[in-house]
Amino acid sequence: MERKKTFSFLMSVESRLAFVYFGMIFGITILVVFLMKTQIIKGDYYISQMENQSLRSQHLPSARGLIRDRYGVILADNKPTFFVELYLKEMIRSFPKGVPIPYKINKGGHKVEDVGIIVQSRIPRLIEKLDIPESAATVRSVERHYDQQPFEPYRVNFNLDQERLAKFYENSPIISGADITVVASRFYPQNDLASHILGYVGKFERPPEKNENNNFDFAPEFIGKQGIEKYFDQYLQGEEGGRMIRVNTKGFIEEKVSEHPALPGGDVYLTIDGRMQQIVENALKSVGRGAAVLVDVYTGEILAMASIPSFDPNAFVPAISRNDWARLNNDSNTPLFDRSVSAYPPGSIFKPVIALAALETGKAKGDTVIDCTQGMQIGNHFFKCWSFGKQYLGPMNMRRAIAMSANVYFYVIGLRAGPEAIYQTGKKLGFGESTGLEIANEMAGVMPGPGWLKKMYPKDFWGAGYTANTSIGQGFVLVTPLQMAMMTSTIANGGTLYKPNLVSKIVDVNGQVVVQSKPVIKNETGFKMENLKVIREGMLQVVENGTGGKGGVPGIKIAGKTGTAQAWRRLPSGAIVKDNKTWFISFAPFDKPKYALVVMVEGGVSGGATSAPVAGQIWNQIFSLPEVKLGEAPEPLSPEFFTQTTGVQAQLAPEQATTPESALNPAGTEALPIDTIPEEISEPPKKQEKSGDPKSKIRGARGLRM
Amino acid sequence: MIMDFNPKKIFNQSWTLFFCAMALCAIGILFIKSAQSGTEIVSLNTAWESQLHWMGLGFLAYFFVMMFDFRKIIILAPHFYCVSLVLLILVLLPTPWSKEINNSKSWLFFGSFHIQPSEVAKVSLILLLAYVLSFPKQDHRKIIYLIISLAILGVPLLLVLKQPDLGSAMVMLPVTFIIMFIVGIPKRYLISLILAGCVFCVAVYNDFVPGFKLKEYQKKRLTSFLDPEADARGSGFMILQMKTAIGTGGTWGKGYGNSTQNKLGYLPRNVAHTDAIFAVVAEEIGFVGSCSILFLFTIMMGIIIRIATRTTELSGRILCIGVAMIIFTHFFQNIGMTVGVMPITGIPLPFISHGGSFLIITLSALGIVQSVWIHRKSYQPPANAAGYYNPSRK
Repeated sequence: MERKKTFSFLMSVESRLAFVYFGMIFGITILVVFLMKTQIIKGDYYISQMENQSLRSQHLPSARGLIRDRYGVILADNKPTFFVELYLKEMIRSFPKGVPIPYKINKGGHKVEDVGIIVQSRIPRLIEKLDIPESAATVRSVERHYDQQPFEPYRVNFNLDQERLAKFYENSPIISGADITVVASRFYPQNDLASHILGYVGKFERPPEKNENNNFDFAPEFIGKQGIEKYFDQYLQGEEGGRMIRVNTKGFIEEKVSEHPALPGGDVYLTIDGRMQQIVENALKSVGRGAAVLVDVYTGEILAMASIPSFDPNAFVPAISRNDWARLNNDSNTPLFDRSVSAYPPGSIFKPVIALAALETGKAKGDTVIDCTQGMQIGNHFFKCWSFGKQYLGPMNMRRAIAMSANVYFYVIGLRAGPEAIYQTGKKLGFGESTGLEIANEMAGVMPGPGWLKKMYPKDFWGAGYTANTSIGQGFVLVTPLQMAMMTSTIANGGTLYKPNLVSKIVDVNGQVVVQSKPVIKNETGFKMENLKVIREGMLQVVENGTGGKGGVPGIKIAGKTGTAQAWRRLPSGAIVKDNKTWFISFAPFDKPKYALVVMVEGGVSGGATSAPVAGQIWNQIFSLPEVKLGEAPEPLSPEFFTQTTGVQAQLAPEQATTPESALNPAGTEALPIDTIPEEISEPPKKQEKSGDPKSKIRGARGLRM
Repeated sequence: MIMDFNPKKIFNQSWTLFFCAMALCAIGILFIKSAQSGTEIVSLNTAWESQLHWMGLGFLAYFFVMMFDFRKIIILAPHFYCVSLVLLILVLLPTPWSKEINNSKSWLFFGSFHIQPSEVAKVSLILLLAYVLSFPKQDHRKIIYLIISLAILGVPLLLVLKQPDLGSAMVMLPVTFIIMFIVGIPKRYLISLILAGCVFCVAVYNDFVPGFKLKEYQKKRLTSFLDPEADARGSGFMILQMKTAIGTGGTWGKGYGNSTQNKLGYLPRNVAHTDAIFAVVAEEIGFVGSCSILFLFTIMMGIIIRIATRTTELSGRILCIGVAMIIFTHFFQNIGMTVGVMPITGIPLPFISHGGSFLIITLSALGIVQSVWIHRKSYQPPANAAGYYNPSRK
């Protein structure tokens, strides 16, 4: 019995040992199972986890295409700018060990790392070391960025200069997760030259949908907001590049996993001639507020287009400061406003339209003589000539009437031709609709006529007075300097209305021409050659012995027309002052016209006294430009170039605080300067509201019912 | 005892066991080298060299120990036990030799020589248990033996918990219980104790027990074990990084030296070659490689247990099973920790983790096992099938 007991005891120990061994095997099997689960079954999951934490995508920004003038001179350029970028995920990861990561509940109700607190502890050091303003990296903006694009680095909004850049690298890493990025920033080397045409760029704001993907879907840095920058953004925008890099816990790059280089954008070549633009802007600057357009009469290419005052688009890069924006917006001279495509009353420069209408309908001929008295009665209103009270112009033919801008002549032939004919002629010449220029914001202006009136003011009725007003370019008529330039071209080139064109070609990054523009005919007017000849000769007379003498240049035959449109504007102080729009339209050389030039000055004395001299200076300088060899870029203009003028000064009207009544008083004793339109308005201008404001399309001026 | 000193005995050892141990040590050195190859910190990237030195020392101890008859060694068990208790107490007291590292007082430094009293305690525990429970004519079914065993366990256990070294405590408990089980203490006692222990643990976790408060980080370790993602960057970070490292190893691993998780620093440098070394191993040699190492351990366990079966003496068996359990619980806890089966406890992987005192002590323990093998009185199968035990052959 004892043996059995001890034996069974032994055996049971053995079985227990076996049991324990099997227990161990069981334990090991559990480990194997878990290993299998981790390595094989969920292997991919962990691989993606690892990728997630160690792979970082870097944005390689592209360079925007350049905007050049017709010869390739750069008007909008890029330059490198340096910024500090914070890689937020890494900053969070390198939060001190042992310290619990602060969390917060975000909008979606999820628990997320409280980036704000984490960053708040680090940013002061960065700000202090690099001496940058606190506003460049606020906790709020970091939080907002992290909400939307947690994987994109946060850019500290301060352009680092060389000194700070050096400091950054000396002290690296100032804080972990910070790195420098280079961005190609827009830079306008000629400052405010052609700023309204070029427009400006601003930061591209990513739409609010979250960018959860850590992929190559990068948004461009800048996007065009105005002008060529905006309307040709798709060509100028390059292709953003990206790079996948593997980083270690400190954020240092271990390997480059994949790279997709950025492509620069294509270059846009404008039709603008940089030198001519300079000439035009320089001439306009001496008169304060105005616009000028210089076009090629046979192609519609715009060689210069300026609106003064203008602005420096460099202020918008990378983002315009609040002060600058307020200053630009609140400036009563509206520098952001493009006057060259805004509608204004034309005044006498509209007379060629009337003349053409009368000639084409046969209601008048070039040698139709009408006695130009100082005014005429139409209906129950006496329509004056500018010469009222000054001189008696006497009988004249059409050419002379154009040269002297005699109102009565045009009242008569206008009434003879009739409002419908005038309307048709005006429409053919492109008035009352936009020219179709690529950059928008273009106003259509107004070409009035009986049909138009019926639509706009159904209760009104087209009377002779309206015709008279239209005949001298007042009343409802509104035109833009660009439209006038196209009309002038049409007269100069023999009757073809072209579509104006700003972009000559677009070249992509490889040098391939992707867009090549050709002249586009908007309308073959079909005006008879002999009629156009009459107008042209009349316009030549304007300069040679008419109201536009000051627009002439010795040695060159220039044809033109002056115009003074009466208008008012409200000063910031509340006072209403006279703010005439003075015009001078012209083309040259007379025998073989090349260019058409329109100058409009706000607050001028008269077309002849204010705008013509400006045009004269422009013509003088343009025709002294050296020839440009084919395929080469012209020499930049020296400052001495601009000192050559015609010597004729433009006159500006002083800011008179006249009350509307006195301005209206037909029997007023003020000495009216040359070419002033007599008051045909019988209602005080306060009904016109913003009569000086080009934004209003309709003048409240109504003629009397007949 | 000196009489028994006979170098020739070394040749009687179980060579399979020797090769297993060698292989594991070599693997350890290889992977320690790989784990720290990317760092510029000299003390880390030459860690494998120090491991090599310790391996040398450890094998010396191994050969030394096996030359002695284990029965004679056991006689010294109470002395060892007292020494270990002294060490355990010393480490808790603010002495010039005790240093607090990572919030736990687990280390004693004597000059450049450092030792972990808990490791010594584990071995001395099984030595004493083997000594006390193997006197002849003990009927282990009596409850007194349960109480004795618990007492022998209890003192060092409490001291270890005070350090606090939860991991070592979690080794000592199963070791003792399995020894009790093998020895024959009735299962019902053991099971009810285990259940009571579980209840106690839950109570401690919820702070119901005065005097036994879990420290914050220990609680954190448990919660992050249960849900590592909850604090992915804080307490759960290590677990997630280890899992990620292992997971990305896939079936075949990334190749020796290519553990990117580790290289990139995501696996914290200071543990990559110690507690988390298995993560590096798994990342570099994949599922296949890791299972091979597990297989190696299984073989080692099997050999030790076979030695236990082959010896007739209870003390020898207790020693073997004790050593096997120590090694097993260590590697189960360590690997379990890296795959997420166990919470993080700071237990090293035997033979492979970098650590001199543990390596030397483990190798010495293996020496004891070899001693059991060499000096065994083997079980002679009886002449007839019923298996009679011949008491005269003791």
